[in-house]
Amino acid sequence: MNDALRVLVVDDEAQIRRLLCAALRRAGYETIEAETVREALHMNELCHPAAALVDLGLADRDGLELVALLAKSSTCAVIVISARDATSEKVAALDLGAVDYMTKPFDTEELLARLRSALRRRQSNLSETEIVHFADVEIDLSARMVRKSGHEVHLTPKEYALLAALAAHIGRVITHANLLKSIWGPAHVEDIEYLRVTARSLRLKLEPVPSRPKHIRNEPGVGYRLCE
Amino acid sequence: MKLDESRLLAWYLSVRWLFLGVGAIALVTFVAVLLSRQLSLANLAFLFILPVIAVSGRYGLMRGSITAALSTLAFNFFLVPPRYTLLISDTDNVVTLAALFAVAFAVSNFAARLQEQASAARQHAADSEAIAKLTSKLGQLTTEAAMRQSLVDALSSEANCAVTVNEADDALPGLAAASPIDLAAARWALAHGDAAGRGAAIMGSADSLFLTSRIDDERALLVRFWRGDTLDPVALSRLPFVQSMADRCSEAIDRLCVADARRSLEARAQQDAMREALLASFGHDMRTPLTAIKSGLAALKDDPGNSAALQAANEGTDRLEWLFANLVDLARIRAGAFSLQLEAVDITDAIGSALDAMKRQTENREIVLDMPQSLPLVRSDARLLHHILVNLIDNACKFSPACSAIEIGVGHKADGLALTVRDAGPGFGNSTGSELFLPFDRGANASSAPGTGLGLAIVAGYAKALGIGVHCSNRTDRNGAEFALFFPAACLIGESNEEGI
Repeated sequence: MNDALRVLVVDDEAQIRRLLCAALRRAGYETIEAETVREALHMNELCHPAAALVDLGLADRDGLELVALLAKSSTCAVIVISARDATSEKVAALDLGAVDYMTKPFDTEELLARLRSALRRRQSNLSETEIVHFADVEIDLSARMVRKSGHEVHLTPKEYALLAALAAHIGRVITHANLLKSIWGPAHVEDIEYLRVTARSLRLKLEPVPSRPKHIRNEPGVGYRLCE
Repeated sequence: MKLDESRLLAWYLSVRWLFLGVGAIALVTFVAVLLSRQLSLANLAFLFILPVIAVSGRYGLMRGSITAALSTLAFNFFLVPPRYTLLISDTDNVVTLAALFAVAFAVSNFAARLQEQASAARQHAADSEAIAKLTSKLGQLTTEAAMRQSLVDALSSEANCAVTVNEADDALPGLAAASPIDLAAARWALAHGDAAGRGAAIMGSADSLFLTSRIDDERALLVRFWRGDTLDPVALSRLPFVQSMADRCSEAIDRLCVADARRSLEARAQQDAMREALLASFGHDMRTPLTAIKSGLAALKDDPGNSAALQAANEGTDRLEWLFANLVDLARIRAGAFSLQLEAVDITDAIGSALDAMKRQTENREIVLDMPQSLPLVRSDARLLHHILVNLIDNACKFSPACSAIEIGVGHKADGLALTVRDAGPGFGNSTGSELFLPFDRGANASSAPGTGLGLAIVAGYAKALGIGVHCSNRTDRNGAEFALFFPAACLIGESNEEGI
């Protein structure tokens, strides 16, 4: 086999598939196309792609089902590309295991950047990095230690838990409900203000400009993302 | 006890004229007896005319005539010899007595007519005043129901009984429980435009009195008077007055309808004009970017390295994308087809993600952020708020010189939180109108900037749905426009909610 990573493109429109595949090949990926959920699952079995770009409006079944199946059965990083822009769809896709969600029409450059970061994460997840960096902040997940410009920063347990949850999947949007459930417990899934207040105090301690956060980012109505 | 008093009072009022007449006659008789030695009988007779004048001037011909008779009898009894009998000894005195009675009767007749005329004039003045009052009140009202109510008020004080005013049609609303003869009277009144029912010339055996007044060819007001006892609700002589009051009301309602019709016609004309403007501006806004894309692609086909053509095509797609997103938003607002997902939103996040979305438009500009470190969270829909902010920032970019700074500030206000977006453009001139928030309206200073004017309509629509106030004004510190979002206290979530953190 060669070094090129394989990317599965699932969309019911041939034109979109063609354009996407051309862009991916230019960026050095090997591409596989599928038009339906069935075809996509078949291709996944056959070729074990490293990532999949999945449209939600597919002919035979709902794309969300495919997202769940792909995310569960393989180490494939699923990025949803959809014309549906309701936040509930985004949340559903992310909760089902998609690593990212892009709304059509999207910028090809941005798609490639998100794909690169998803694949990098996939590799780093496999090698289980325990130290995460962003800006001048270093998070040591095994020692539960956070340093900014080399100095230790004191975080409350909730602040640390939020930071660790985001750092474990750096670059990826973690939905509000997911964060609330894992940090405050299932009873507080609706208490989004806890999350807001904690994120704000975390920003005050770690962000260079807390009023214009660059690293601890919020996606309106969806969730938080830690950016490098 | 109270009833007895009022009965006594009524009885007193009904015989007051008699007290006055008898009292006056007694006084005159007393004076005449005192003077009977000095004056002749014929002269004394004139004194006995005075009581007749007093009574007939006030209480009319009938009572005046009775007083005249009593006065003549008293004269005969007390003064005509033989005195203290009703006999007359001298034939001269018979003539005096006859003359006295005749003069007294004539005077009473004359005084009564004067009194009638005076009271008619008084009534007429009062009627005119009542009608003028009703007319001016109707002029201030803007709904039919209020107009009908003001007629009810005016007529109740006149008729002193229960009054209803309804807009009549064949179903006769409000008369479901009325007796058959009442219904018949109401129908007759409607059909003939004349009063019918108790106290009127027609169908006097009905329980209620009806009269109608036409509003226009199709509609009429039906006025109903009724009272529990057997008296007439309105005297026959007062019907013209009552009718003219009702006519004033129906005229006012007619005027209101005409004004409404004219307004709705104007609104429709305005809508048509807007639709036309939509098509024109739409065609322009679609065609310009499409042309850029098409010609850009054509140039790229010939010369794949043409970066200017590539950029033109790219910008064209951006503009189409923006236009499309705004149209979808506006359609959603128009159709009310969005469900609010209210949650605690950090305004910092909202501004941050709006600025991220506008990265390309703001890349050459300085963005000045001014907000306190501790801000309350707001209960809002993150997605709609995002659209509001994106449109305000886009608006600021469009209507200010390239590379000028855009200032975004958040601050506490007396009873809420204010978010302002300020640009360094020309501002609004003298118009600071809310018309900016109508779709396809572009301010007077906007002619050169691209766009359909959908953005601010979306801002207004979403802000209304979220309970956020929107205001626009000229900047006070320099030239430029300022758009302010106001989150009322009800939208804010207190910072005290720190448990579990």
